[in-house]
Amino acid sequence: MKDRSQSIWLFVMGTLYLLLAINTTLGIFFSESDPLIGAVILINSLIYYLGLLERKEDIRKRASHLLVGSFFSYSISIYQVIMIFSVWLEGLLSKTCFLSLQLFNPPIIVAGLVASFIVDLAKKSFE
Amino acid sequence: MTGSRQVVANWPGVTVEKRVGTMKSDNIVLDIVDLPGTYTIGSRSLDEKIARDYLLYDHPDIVVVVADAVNLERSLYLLFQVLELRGDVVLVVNALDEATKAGIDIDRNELSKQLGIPVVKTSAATGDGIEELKEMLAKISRGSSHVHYLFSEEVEKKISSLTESFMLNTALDGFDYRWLAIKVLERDTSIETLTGAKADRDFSSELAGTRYQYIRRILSTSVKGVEKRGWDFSDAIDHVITHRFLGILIFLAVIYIVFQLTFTVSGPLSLLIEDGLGALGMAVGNLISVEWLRSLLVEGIVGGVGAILVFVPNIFILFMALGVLEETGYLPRAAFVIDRLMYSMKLSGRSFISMLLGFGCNVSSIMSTRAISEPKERIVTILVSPFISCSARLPVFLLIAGTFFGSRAGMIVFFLYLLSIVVTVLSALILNRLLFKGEPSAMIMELPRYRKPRLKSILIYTWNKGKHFLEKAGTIILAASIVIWLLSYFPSEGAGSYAAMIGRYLEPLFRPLGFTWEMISSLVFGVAAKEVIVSSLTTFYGDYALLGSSVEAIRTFISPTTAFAFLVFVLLYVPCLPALAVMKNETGSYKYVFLSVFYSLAVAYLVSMIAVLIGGLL
Repeated sequence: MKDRSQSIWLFVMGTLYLLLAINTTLGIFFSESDPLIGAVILINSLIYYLGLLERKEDIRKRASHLLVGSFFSYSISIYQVIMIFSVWLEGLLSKTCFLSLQLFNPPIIVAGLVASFIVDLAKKSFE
Repeated sequence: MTGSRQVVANWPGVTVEKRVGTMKSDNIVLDIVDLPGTYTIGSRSLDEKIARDYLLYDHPDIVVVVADAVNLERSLYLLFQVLELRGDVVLVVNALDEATKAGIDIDRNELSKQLGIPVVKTSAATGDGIEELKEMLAKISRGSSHVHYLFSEEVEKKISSLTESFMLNTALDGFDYRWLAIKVLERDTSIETLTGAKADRDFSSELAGTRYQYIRRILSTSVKGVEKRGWDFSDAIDHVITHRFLGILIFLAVIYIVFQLTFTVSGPLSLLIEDGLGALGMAVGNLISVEWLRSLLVEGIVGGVGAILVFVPNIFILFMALGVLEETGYLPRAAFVIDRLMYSMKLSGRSFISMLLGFGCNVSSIMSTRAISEPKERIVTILVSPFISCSARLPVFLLIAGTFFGSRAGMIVFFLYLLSIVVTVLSALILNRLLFKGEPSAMIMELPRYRKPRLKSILIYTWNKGKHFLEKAGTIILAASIVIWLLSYFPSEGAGSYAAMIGRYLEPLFRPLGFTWEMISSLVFGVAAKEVIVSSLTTFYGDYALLGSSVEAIRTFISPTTAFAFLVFVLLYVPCLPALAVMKNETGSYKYVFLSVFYSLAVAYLVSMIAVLIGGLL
């Protein structure tokens, strides 16, 4: 991955996750308000943004932030899926439906999908 | 090799005792003794001392040094120290699979020729070479091949002169004089005491330098591919994960997610167990007509033990998540990140590692302090380790938080874990400043390579950690449930019981916190094992049958603020009896046991009071 595209991805993902953090904290768009998960997503955003603070010559260091950040994003979406599955299963056993679109938090899952592609791209920088 | 499973982690202090297993190969039976993992055989910390004393005084037939194929230079340093002490050594070069992946090629025959001892290449992960090692151990005959390299002229002269004086000392018969002389020159205090000799200055770095020169010479001909491979995948992840600020934030985020998963994923499984136990209680209740026996079985045993069994999924999922973090190599990084923070507070990462183990069980946490070389720091760590929230406290948190805080229960549990860390660190600071005024010991820690977690290893880790919970449920908790039932049933059920008398007697003390006699009595019984608090509460509140379940009764009689203060009190009050017993063993004094009991009670009361006051304002 080239230096320029790395910087672009760091900025895009950092901003995307900053918005997701705000969204999850306040529960604005298809999301329940959850300040602590919002804080976790904000940390994810910081991983990307701090990558932009690395010196431009340190391409590998910038790529490291992209690699770890995108893996973290991907993990958050996996966590979200596991949570939904557990809530669905619990509802099934107690014959009550606890699921809602807000609980799904689709923006996180979709962003995690994007992140999974970036993990692969970033990995290639170290092969 | 022996078929047994031990905890193998990448930091010192995990195995703090000798572990013995038996290996059978053909017609030969060998006792295999696993010594604590160490980088040297000095006597700075207790685990090093255990390893060295065993080699010195127990005279094993063969010593197997397990080296890391990827970091052979450092591993050979330990090997050389063993070879200075005695012959009959086999070198096992382990983690061969990872070395191959890293492009490292080890010429086993050349290495064996250079060292003068047998060398076996193995991979514990894939099982390669294990059979060959077993065969070799069964066949090997005793020999003698001490390592021979020359130190500088000045050092060799001192070694000769010390050796000659040791020969005249009959108390030193049976020891290797040269080895004793080297240890005296390294200013090893226990050998100085043994021999009565003392060097005029410390030759440690000079001796280490010579050893490393020799090691490098050997490696230059027997190992290829160890050149620095540049900025690799592992370096890249470490750059972010061990970042000064980000590292701590990432650690907090990871731990939060682990607790959320523990809470949510276990929900359906806990529900199944709860339903099963409910059905069992009903079936037993219908079968038995004798009132007291029905009450003992249904409310005492099924209710008491069942209240704990409901949380088995939580415990296993927590350990599974921690197992994943350990398998991937993340946990040692967390210790590394926190080490920097703790050093500024006059604690070392070694203390943090002990505390980290406390999340499983405070007993193992206290025992792991043996790896801390600085005695004052070790005592401080022993005293503060019980503040770390062990898995036994988790069922109490889950019951109370789940009852009162609904969807925010995970957040409350996370907060309690954070509070436990904060109180632990603050207490360490206070004890360090006021009582001990010690300097933290330096920590040398190997950061393992990252790897994909293997399901088998995680399942073994989870089972090894979690099975103690099941064992306790079948032993201590079963016995405690029967005792609690007896105390709550006689002389009359509920408010007239002995349990109520105990609780009422102490009630004035806890009135400012708003605790009921049921809560106080369960705290008293919880000293035996913290899980017992859950069975006590469900038994005591189960008496209010008109209100439905015991959970409903708890919700009726306790306010959310009091419930939260109770959680804080459970988190911080007196360590359990097994932890106190280990504390006495490890410190060798009741003084520290009493200090721990009174200090923790005071802290628990104070912090709970703060929780009540803040709750009152909200």
